Formats: sequence, structure tokens, C-alpha cells
Amino acid sequence: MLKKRRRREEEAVVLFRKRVRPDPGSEYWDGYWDRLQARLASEPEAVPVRAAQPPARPGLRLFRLAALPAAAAALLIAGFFMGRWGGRKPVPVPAGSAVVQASDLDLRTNRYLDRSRRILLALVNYTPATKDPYGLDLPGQKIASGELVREASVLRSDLTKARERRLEKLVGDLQTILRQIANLEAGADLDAVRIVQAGVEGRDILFQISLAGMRGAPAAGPAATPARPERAT
Amino acid sequence: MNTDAAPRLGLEDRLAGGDPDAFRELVETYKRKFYGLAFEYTRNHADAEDVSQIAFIKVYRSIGTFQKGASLNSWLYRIVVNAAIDHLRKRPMYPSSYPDAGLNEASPAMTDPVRTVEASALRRSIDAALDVVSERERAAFLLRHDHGLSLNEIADTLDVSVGSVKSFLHRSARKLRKELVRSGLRLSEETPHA
Repeated sequence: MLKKRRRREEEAVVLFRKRVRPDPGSEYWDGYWDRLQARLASEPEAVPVRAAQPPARPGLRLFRLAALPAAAAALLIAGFFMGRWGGRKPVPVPAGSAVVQASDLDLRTNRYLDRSRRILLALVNYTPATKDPYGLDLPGQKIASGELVREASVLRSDLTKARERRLEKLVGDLQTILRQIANLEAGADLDAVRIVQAGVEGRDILFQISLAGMRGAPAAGPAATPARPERAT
Repeated sequence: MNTDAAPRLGLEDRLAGGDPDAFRELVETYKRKFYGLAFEYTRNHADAEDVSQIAFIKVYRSIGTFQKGASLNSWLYRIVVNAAIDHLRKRPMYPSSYPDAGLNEASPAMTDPVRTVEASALRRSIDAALDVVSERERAAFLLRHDHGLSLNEIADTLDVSVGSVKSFLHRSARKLRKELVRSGLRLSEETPHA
């Protein structure tokens, strides 16, 4: 059983190795170093490669080892007296703290949902019966959907870390639908478009996006979530 | 299967010593690998170049922090993976570029148009399947099966245990297979999932 499972997994790996990665060509590679060098020179923070630290002498290393506990003790004593007489001050929020990260995640999630909503709206409002060739910019939608599908993996991972399970699930559902759009055949396969439309409507995706928008941000918490209406069957 | 062992001999020391030729040697050795890994994340030529160059600039600026005795491969790949993920997080609201018509989808030896189309379709299926796996599973899968890193090197790169790496690899291969079957590719002993 285990062998069979392993063999099946290896089959996927073999197939993966068969794929050919697009290559930019030899001219591209020939100029790579020059372009990198130019960029390094133009970057404002360009600094030379740091020289290796000379190996520490044994005597100096021993002195450092002995000095470490003394320094730690001094720090503890200083901290004790500062805490006792220094008074209490509000603790500033450091950059990169959970608060900052949460707002960044909010922004990315909102942006992601907004971009997805635009694509889905264009698709849902498209009626094949009108035969309007400009009604649905399928190549454009496919490219944008592909971008969003790729972005979803990272976003879902971040939402999971932030314990935003509901949003993570919504982004997961969107990822599935957007993947279907990205894989739509060129030449307006209308049946496929209808299937995707049915998927959007069946999962109440647009409603869920509006709901997430009403909540404003992932940090709002699950308590702010209104009841989800029953899905029509 | 690690093919980079020979050119790296002594490279760490020369890099740490500030030898500019060593940095160039590193770029020449790793430029295709960096670009290839970046392309797997961005699927876009311009972005792949940008990410690979950002990674090299980070290497250049932080070579002093590389710990002697550690795996150079792991350290370098960690920088590229982080740069690629950072790039995906900071991606602009709308795509800035469109699929790269100038890139060769097939290998130079592939002159048969039918095979070229098949290769292109296979690549698209695999790309779509890779989008399903999680961030770390994808990184582990690519580092192992595309770049030939050892389990230990992948563990160092992703800062996880070897056991976790094995788990990532199993899960990613399983998901990849499932998605490939769903996309219509015929694989043995498998009933396509709905």
C-alpha cells in the first residue's frame, strides 16, 4: 500500500521533471552580470562586500566568555533599579509588530478581494446570448486570474497564521474559481463560462466578498460577522 | 543529486574575504538557478529577473552574515525563496506585464510543433497544479525536484526539521498528482476526481 502510494507520488514527480521551463535565451544570460552590476551601482545602499571577521584570539575569547555573566548581572541590576525608580511609561508599539502586520494583511486581503470581485462581476454579468465580443475580455481576465491564483497561496498562508479561518476559506474558494477562469480555453468556450458562473453563484462568492468588505478588515474578529443566509437549492 | 559541489569549493572563504571575482563566480554559477526558482513563483520573465537580481544584491550585501561551515546552497536558496515570496506579497494591484511571447516555451531541440504544444500544455497543467500546494510545500518540492537540494539543505533553507521536509514533499507530490489527474492528464492506476 505504502509502495503503491510512493510510486504514484513518484509518477507526478517524473511528469513534473518532463516539463520545459521557458528560457530567455543566451543573449539574456550574457548580459546578466552587466545588468546586475549596473543595478548594484545604482542602488542607494550599495556597500562593498564585508571583509571576513578575523578569527578571535583564544585569550580574548576566554575574556569574553568570563565577561558575559558579569555583563548580564549588571544589566539585571540596572533593570531592577530603573524599574523601581524610573516610573512607568507607555510601551511604544515597535515597527513590524502584530498590529502593523495585521494592517498590512488587511490591506492585502481587501485588495485581493477587490480584484477578484471585479473579475467575477465581469464574468457573472456576461450573457453569452448577447454575443457581444467585447463583453468579456477573456484573455485579460485569464491573466489577472492566474496572477490572483498564484498570490492566493501566500495570502492563505498569512491568513492561516493570523487565524483568519473564514477569510482563508473565502480566498481558497476564490482560488478554485479563479483557476477555472485562468484555465478557460481561448475562443470563448461558453459552456465553460456558464460552469464558472454557476460556481460563483452556487458558492455565494460575491455575497461573501461583500460581507468581508462590510467587516472592513480581518482584525475585526468573528463576532462582527452577520449571519449567512441559507443558500437556495 | 547535487551538481554544484565542485564550483563552490573555497567560494565561501573568498566571498567572505571580499573577493569581487568570487561574487561574479557565484552569480555565474547561480544565475540560472535563481532565475528559474524566481520564475516558478512569478511565472513572468520581468519579475523573475527582478527577484533574482534582488536576491543577488541581498547576497552581496549580507555575505558577512554567512556563517562559516553552514551550507552556502541553503543560505542562497533561502534568500531567493524569501525574495520571491516578498515579491508576491508586494505585487501591484494589476498585472504589470503579460505572458512573455519572447520566451522559448520549448527546448531548442524541440522542433516538432505538436511536441511543442504538448510541452506547453504540460507546463500549464503543472503550473496550475503547483498553485494548489502551500507556500512551504511548493518551496520544498521545487528545491528537491527542480534544484536537487538534499533533505538537510531544504530543512536549513526553510528552517524546519527534515521530518517536516519529508512531509511537505509527500503532501506536495500527492496534491500535484491529484491536480494533474483533474486537469485531464492520464496517470496510471488513478480514477479521475470530480
